[in-house]
Amino acid sequence: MICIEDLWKRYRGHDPVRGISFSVPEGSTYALIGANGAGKTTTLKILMNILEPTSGSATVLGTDSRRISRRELNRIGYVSENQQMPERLTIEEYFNYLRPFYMRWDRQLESSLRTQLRLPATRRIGELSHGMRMKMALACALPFRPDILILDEPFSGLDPLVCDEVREGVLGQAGETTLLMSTHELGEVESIATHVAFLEEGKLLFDEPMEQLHKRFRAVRIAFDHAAHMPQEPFPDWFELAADGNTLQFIDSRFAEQLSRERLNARFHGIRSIEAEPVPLRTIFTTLARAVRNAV
Amino acid sequence: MIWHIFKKDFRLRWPYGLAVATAQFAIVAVHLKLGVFERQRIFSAVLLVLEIMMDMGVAVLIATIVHEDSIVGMRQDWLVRPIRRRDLIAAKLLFLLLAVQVPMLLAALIGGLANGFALWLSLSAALSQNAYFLIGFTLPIFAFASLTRSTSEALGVAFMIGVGSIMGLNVLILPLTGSPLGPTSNTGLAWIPLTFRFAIYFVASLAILVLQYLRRATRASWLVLAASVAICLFSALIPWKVVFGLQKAIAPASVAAQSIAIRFDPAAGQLQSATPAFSVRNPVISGGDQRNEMNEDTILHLPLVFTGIPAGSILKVDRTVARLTGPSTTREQIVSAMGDPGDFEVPNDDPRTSEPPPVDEILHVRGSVYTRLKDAPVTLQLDYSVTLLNLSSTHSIPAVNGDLSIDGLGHCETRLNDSRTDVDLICLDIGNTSQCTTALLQDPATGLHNPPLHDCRDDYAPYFGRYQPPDTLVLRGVDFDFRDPSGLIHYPVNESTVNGAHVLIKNYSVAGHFTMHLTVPTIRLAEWSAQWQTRSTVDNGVR
Repeated sequence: MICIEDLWKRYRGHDPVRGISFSVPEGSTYALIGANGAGKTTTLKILMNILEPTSGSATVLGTDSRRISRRELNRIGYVSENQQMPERLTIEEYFNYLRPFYMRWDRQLESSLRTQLRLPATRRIGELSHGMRMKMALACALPFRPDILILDEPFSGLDPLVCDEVREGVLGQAGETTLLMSTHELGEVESIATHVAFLEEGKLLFDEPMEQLHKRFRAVRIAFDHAAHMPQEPFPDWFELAADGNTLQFIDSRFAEQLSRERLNARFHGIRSIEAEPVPLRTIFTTLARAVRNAV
Repeated sequence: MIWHIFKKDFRLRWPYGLAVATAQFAIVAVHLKLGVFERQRIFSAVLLVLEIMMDMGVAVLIATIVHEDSIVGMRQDWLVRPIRRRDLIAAKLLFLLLAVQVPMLLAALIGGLANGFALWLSLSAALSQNAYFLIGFTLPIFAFASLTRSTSEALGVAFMIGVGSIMGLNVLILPLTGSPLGPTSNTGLAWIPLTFRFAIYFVASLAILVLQYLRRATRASWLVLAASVAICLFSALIPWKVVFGLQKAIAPASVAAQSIAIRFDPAAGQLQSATPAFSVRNPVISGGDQRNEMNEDTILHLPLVFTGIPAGSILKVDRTVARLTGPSTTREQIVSAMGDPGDFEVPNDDPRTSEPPPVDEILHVRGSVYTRLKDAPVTLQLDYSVTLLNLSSTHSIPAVNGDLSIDGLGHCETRLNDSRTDVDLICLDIGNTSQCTTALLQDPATGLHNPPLHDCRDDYAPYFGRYQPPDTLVLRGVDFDFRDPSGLIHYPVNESTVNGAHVLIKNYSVAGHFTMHLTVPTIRLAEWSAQWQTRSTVDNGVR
């Protein structure tokens, strides 16, 4: 559905996107995560042909992003945290305006979304709060049943109730739509993302299915018979090592149940027990982000 | 989808569009209320305010319509919608046509008809005004607005471009040509560089609109804008010779021009004070060279005799380029390399003589040049660009409370002024007006008349329905003195005969343009100069 290859963007003397490559499978919910300024929004804007890439390629629905036309835009929904809609139009007027542009606008779906998201028909867009605007943008992106829904920071700055409404709106009505969302609200996407890609300073650090990611990241806690010491030469896939009393803790980014235990037993003596716990996405994100920054 | 997008813009901005359209009709209403004599001065101020408001209002309206779906920026919702960009530009253009151009056309047409002008005249003037405004204002503002994100940004950048252009004209063009708008400014040929600039506006506007709306190539669009501003700026440097050559090529050739000759005639006498003699022969002096008024130039008076001018015709000198060759054979140029605006006319309209009387041509010589060469024998080379004007019609209107429609002048009325010292003649015309007009106050019983007044409209533009912004209506007027309150001057037509007097009006039209050359072999400047002075202009009441 979406394929990005060696994508670069140079903008005002710096490179917000530096040679990233990934692809979004059909039907997936793909989370593009990264800190502010990591290049997530730039990547999504290139996909929508709002920005032109400096080099490399981005294809959406089989079409080069630079050639995206009405036909593709009829199949792509886009929601951004700072989307500028006509402030002086009312919600009703804006829906009336958008409807004729789409080949397959489902008025029933529109109606159900507007009810679900509690959008007041007569309110001007300029008078809406940030949360209401996000809901409005979402409600405008779904009724034509897009094949791809691109969400740029959809949960940013929203209170928990609105977050839930947006998430339910997306999941409840998106159906078979392929979702690509950029976010740093990791808690919000953890339960819905099937794939995740991690961008840091314009570079892609990894791109893999969520299940696989959760499998390989583990918070490892080793209890020793004696006082624990920091290893002289830790493995490069260990992060955030800490020794405290008899225990050594770290995040293992290449954890494999049997193999890892054998490797630890070979490396350390006096191991009393090894515990390996799954790591939340947020911890994975912060661990990797810190590691990259420390390396720089 | 064009109509659909238009409706959205209309819903958002109809009050603003209505206000701008109303302002246009209000201008017409105020014009009607004013009448030809503008008795109620208060309305003149209202009219001026309305015209400024209308231009500003149109500019802001265009900007707001464009910024409803801004091209510049990355956050606009329309960018991610299946909206055809050519539909968007067409919708914006449609809005501007319906909200700005059509009301303007209707207002001008109604204004012409309401003032008693024929449908064809009113329509042609309204169409001219509309085309002028579309190419010179609406489209450029539309294109410019598409380069900016918001109206405030557009205003800021426009202000900077305006200041930059004024500085460029004064720093680059003024020193080279003697005028910030180049050698053709304030001459009948000004329409040629103006038309060239309008062509640039048109091409640049289209290029920017295509680049912006179809490609969102903002950087390339800014380059087009910068290039077009530079070209317009430097269009002021188009040499006079080139422009006059073009004017000659498109104007009808005049056979009569071949018989016209000029000679330097020392026998006509030396003058030590230019103003009285000059003012009698050439009573209307307008648009003088302000630069010379400020500098301490020395004024030369060259007695010239023109022969071969057909009876009833006027020879109008558009420009004189004069060169002095000193004893060291080094070429010196008088005043500026581009020449002096001639701006004097040689009428041959006195039925008592076959040739016009001698003329004193005034030339301005820089103080430093004069000081160096005043007593040395020098050769003077003069190149004239001239226009022959033939009498096209003669009309007579009663001097008091006259009311007559005259071809080329429009609807004319006469009245005595409040202090009963002069007769006011005011004409309201639309579109094409007469090129030159001579008018005099005459007693039909005796044939005696007061000094004639002469006025030429400096515009040789060939296109129909010429339009001088901001209105399609042209108001021209002349005051004929018949009583001097100080009692020093006695007029042939005076307060005792003015009630039975007529204003005799002669209209002239262009018969051809050509050049003439004169060499004055050896003269001493000191013999033909007036005292060091600041030139004064004569205002005899012609407006």
